[in-house]
Amino acid sequence: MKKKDKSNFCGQFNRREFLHTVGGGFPALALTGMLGQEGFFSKANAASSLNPLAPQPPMINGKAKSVIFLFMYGGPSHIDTFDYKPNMYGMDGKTIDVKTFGRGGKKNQGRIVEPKWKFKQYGESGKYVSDLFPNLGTCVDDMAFIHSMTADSPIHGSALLMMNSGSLISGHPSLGSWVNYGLGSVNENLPGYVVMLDQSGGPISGAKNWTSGFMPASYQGTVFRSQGDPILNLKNVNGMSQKEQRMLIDSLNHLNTEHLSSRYDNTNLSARIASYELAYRMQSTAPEAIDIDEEPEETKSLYGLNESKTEDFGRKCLLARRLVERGTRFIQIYSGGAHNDHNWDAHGDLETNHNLHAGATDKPISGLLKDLKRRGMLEDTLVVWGGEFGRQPTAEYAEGTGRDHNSYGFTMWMAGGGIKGGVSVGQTDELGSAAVENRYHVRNLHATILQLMGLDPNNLSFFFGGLDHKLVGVEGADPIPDVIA
Amino acid sequence: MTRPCCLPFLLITFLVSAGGSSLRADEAENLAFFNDQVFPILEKNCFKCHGAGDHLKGDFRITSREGLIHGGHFGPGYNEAEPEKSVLLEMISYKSEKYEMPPKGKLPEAEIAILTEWIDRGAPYDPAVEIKGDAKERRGFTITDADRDWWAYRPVSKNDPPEVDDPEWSRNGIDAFIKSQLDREGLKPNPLASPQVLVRRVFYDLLGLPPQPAEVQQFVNAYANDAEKAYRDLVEDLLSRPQYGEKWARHWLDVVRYAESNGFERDNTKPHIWKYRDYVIEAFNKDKPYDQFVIEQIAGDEIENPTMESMTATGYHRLMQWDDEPADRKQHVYDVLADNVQVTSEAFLATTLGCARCHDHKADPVSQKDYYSFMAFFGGVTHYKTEGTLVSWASPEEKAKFEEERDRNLQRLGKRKEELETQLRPILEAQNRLKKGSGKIVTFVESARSGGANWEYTTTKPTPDWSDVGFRNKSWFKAPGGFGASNPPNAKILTEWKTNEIWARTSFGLTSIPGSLVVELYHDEDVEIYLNGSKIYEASGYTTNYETINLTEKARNVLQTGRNTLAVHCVNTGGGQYLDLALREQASDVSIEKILSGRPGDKVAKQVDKESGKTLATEYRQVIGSIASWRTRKPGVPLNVVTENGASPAPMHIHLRGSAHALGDEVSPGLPAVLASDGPEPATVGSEPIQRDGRASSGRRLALAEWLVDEENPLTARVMVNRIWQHHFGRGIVPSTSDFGQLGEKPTHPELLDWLANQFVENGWSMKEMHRQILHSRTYRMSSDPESANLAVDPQNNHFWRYSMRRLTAEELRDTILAVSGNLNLESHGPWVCPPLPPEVLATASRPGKGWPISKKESDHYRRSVYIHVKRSLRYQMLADFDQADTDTACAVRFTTTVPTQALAMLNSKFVNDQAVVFAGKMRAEGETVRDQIAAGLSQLFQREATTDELDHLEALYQKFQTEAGLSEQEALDRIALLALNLNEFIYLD
Repeated sequence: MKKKDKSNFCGQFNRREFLHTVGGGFPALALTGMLGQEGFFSKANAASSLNPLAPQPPMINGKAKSVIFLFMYGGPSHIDTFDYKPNMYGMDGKTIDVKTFGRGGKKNQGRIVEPKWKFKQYGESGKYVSDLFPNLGTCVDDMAFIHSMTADSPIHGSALLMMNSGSLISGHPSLGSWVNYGLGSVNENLPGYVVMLDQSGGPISGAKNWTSGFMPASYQGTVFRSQGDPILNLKNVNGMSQKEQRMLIDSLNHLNTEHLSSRYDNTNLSARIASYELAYRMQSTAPEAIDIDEEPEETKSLYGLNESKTEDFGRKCLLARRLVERGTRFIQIYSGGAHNDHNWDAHGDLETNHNLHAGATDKPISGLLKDLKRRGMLEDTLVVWGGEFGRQPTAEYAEGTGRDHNSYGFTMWMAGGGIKGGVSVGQTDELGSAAVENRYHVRNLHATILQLMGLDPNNLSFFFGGLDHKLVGVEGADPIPDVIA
Repeated sequence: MTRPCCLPFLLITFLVSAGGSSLRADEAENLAFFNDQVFPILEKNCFKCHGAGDHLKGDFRITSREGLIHGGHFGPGYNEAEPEKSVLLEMISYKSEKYEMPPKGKLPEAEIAILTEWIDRGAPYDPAVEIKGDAKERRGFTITDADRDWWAYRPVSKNDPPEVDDPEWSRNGIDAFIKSQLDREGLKPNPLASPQVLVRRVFYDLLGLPPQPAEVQQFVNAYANDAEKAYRDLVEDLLSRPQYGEKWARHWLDVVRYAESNGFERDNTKPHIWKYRDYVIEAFNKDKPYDQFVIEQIAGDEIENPTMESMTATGYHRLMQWDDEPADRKQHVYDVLADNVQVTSEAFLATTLGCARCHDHKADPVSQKDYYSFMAFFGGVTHYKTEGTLVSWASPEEKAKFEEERDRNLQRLGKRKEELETQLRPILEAQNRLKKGSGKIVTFVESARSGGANWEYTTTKPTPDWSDVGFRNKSWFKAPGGFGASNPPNAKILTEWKTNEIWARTSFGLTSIPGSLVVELYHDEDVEIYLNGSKIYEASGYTTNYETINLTEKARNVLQTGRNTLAVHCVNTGGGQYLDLALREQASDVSIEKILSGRPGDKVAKQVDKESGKTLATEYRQVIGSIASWRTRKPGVPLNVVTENGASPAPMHIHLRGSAHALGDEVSPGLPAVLASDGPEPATVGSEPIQRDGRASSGRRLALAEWLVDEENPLTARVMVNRIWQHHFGRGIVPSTSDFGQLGEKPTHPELLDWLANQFVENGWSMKEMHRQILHSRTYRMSSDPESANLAVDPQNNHFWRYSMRRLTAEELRDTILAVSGNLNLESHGPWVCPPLPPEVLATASRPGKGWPISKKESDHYRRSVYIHVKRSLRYQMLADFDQADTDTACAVRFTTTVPTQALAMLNSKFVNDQAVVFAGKMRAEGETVRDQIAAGLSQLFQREATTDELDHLEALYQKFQTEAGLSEQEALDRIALLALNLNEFIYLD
């Protein structure tokens, strides 16, 4: 693999020059790239590289252009979904010695809760999938399963931060920020990094999960709603019409241009002028992006929009496809929000919980994969599925089927965007209590995503606080080779 | 519990056979064994990360015998004395979680057996296949002469301003330095800015607010008379206003990443931490000497006569993020310390010490030993906890007086309560209000009366995190509840407790959140109850029977399905001990207290008294109210501060690879070698244990603070004058204001920086005096106009040939909008405020709407931005939109981004639109004609007369809004006001 010169970020900036250039006081972070395209000021073209979201060439070859990360918040149970453990059937209620670590602390023994659903083989690959996902089962030949995922924390707060930003401590940029930092955005009329939340609320730590951390705020995720106004402040609170707004912005441009004439060298001022045009256009492009009325009925039902239990997540999946079509780089959709059984955190009744959340997502996700595929979009759209960790094979309490958290071993899958379909990588032990073969850390997952996006995980860095920070950490991490086509 | 069944597949255990004692095989056989059996395993599983690839992980090389013996972060891989104890074997055995190698999965047992035999044979290696490392790998940490000669570590030079020809540029030292450099570069300084521009600039730079039109007029008039005097008077006026501290405190709060909550799952607030924010504001307003400002934050509790102010300053150590339920508790203790070390080294020394946590600094001459020696200064600081680390600031006399008064009152009230109950019972029974209810009550934690719950307890003071969810301590005892001695009344003792204090924890599972929660509590003197780490109840004085306390409201936000942790702490100072409690749903049977307490009790009491013709029920309500109030009252003022656990902190070790589980050598508190010693070792600093106000501490932080402000320290003064410069000129003389190291930027004017640093110290570290020197300079007063000849040579203004334009900061922008609308509330100090947030923003929280209680007083919604609650997981949207500093990392230089979401917020948000309407109302009042009204508005925003063109244009737009968009006159002017707030001239200086 050819390495990029470390001192030169994407051939555009010296990384430290970049940092200090974007710092306050310097003519900085301008949208002049867009200005140039709009023909406002031809001289601004020269400064186009200052636009933090200007499209950048990839560092290396990568098939994927966009990522859709389906975040199963709360931690789905791998042994009840994709990690088939035939020997566990019939063991229900037996107490065994097994090392676990969850919210209830470290234990050496537990009562087995056998998988609560049956598994069936699907596709040419013959992959076993549980009855929670009858629709998704039909897509297995496009999916690559990683059964040997590990993470550093079995506690939601820090585990979410780790899955989203590679660190147990907050303040680090999230995966979507890294992707936009590395590649920029190809559609300036829409955010390059979109997050769609569950109706019940955000995940623990809220915006920390899509923060740009120590990077400029230009790289942070934008919360996108699937109904109503997709983006905050998209509509004027006092009901200002498009026409009025056009008049207002025209006047604003006129006066700002006047103001600029005696300050002609200041690219920040011209960038600000351009940002109003972008905002204006966003007010029509964003609602257009979420306007799914134009989609044929067949497509809508493919995503489950005709059923109440799948409608909400289905709409988000369909929107994700529409956003990808419009050039959004990174989309994260949360299945589940808030606390307790509003998400996959099945401490109480496993069956009720997982039936609910799998029921709401199975059809929509399979619809997404199929729709992407038939449109030829799956080739360059990477779909990632998983939670912040998995769940334990044993019960959390003396009674009931609830499982505690498990970061010793869990399953995630990926599809499209250069992923090899129909493969399964790594293994947990016979109980699914811990990954034992080909173990992969969250950092390996991140490295794989970056690599598929054409970013060299071990060389994509951002200088801050005296250190070249990388998503995959100081020591670096390799992509998972067996899932890459 | 049922007997463990052993699944057959879990029983695969291997007996590692190494052939008993070591057989002496000949060399050739060993080599063949290595090449045939060992090498393939090593090559396949270990080489990539440990010697054959690009990175050498863990500093461990296994591609040579020397590398194996030398080892890495966890010590030698091969233990020559006791081969069977070699770290390599430990790692491949997967017995310890701290190291499992190879990380991808445990080797097959047959391969482990081969490696075990290899080690047993003495780890023979074939030199022909060895890959030896770079000699550099073995290089110890050194500091070269060049390292010590780095500009930032040299003593501050004593220099005088250079001679310059121009008399206009030789009156102020700053000007002389700047002008002489401009001359050298062939640059011409810009002329002075106009008084209108100047007054706006100084207002923003000192107060973060715009001048009022009258203030502008007054200054412009005075300036025409005597420019110099008018300007100096203006500077003095502004420096004396309370808004100055509010503006400049925010710059400091960025550097120390000030936040008011802990982050993570519960993101609890840091109680009383706002007092630290007020401390910083006051420090600037009072012109507290900077050296004292440093000492108080680092060690305000250890100084000779701590004051409430100096104690408050130590809230500095409590601002970091903190996880109450970390995956790795021990590691997190050091994550918190590391966070503070990083901020301290960057804030005061502009040194990125943080990079040396895992290994010696790659760029700067800072060793890992330097790092942990520096961390040792903070080694005695108590751990943070959910409820904050609170100290009640009261004198011993105040405390004693309070306690006497409280006990007297509680006794009196308790007696009266019993009397009233006796009298009320027949009345209530007669009124048919006292009857038994039915229905099953779910009990979560049983009291001793029904067998007692299983508790874990201790009678020796635990670490402060004892009540947290994730706390574990194997040394605690397990026993059923009902703790006590000497047979107190109505008590069933199941476990003996004879000491002065007890701490106990238990847990219970919930499948759903109950609708109510009460505790039946029988306690000795002071008692505190925690649920999932949050304090839900505390009381003083003992009881003689169970009391039922309704905790539904308090518990609602902390209960969770699954496992919940209940923790209780109780104190006894005399007499028999007793502590017991039950936790259950609210019973449906009724007690007198239940009937008459709370809000519904209000109506009932009136009815009871009306029917009985007496006032007993009303009085009863007053009595139980007073009891509750006395129970929760505390003497003094609570402060969230630093204290230490005693005079001698636990030893500090180097953490290999930054892991708290891999301890290296022990270190003592010490200063980075490059700054304070002649050799490569940190300069050890002795410290005296300190006793203050009944609290013992190590004195280490005081020793550090004193060194920070020592005359010999080359950094502290330079760093602070550079920050002050930065916020007047848009960038520091050293642009990387928190990094003076080799990866930072070099000063563009090193002599000026040193001259300022000397002035700063000579003037008693006065920050206001530094402002004066800077503001009085001609350099500061230049216009920001572009000048093409200069632009060609120095487009970035590296030499300060003009004033650099800047965008208003997030806080300045919001405060200005409120100032021009007239809504700004200039009230100073006090608890944080929560102005309304759009529902879309609240919906991003995991408990939407919780954690952001909208301030009740509307005027609080219009307080200055520095008083808005800083919650880690939920930021005030408008401030975040405009690049307010992140809460988790020290921010020395804010980014200035320009993105469409800002334009959307300025055009469409409720806040800006509401204020625009108010502003339009003000405009209307200021003129007869629309033209006059617009003119008045613009001059208020820009501190200048509007031009004819501008007025023509906006008047035409005003008409067009009516004729083409069908707006009313009022709406049309509202839109004009909104437009004005969106102009570049409004949001940019100057």
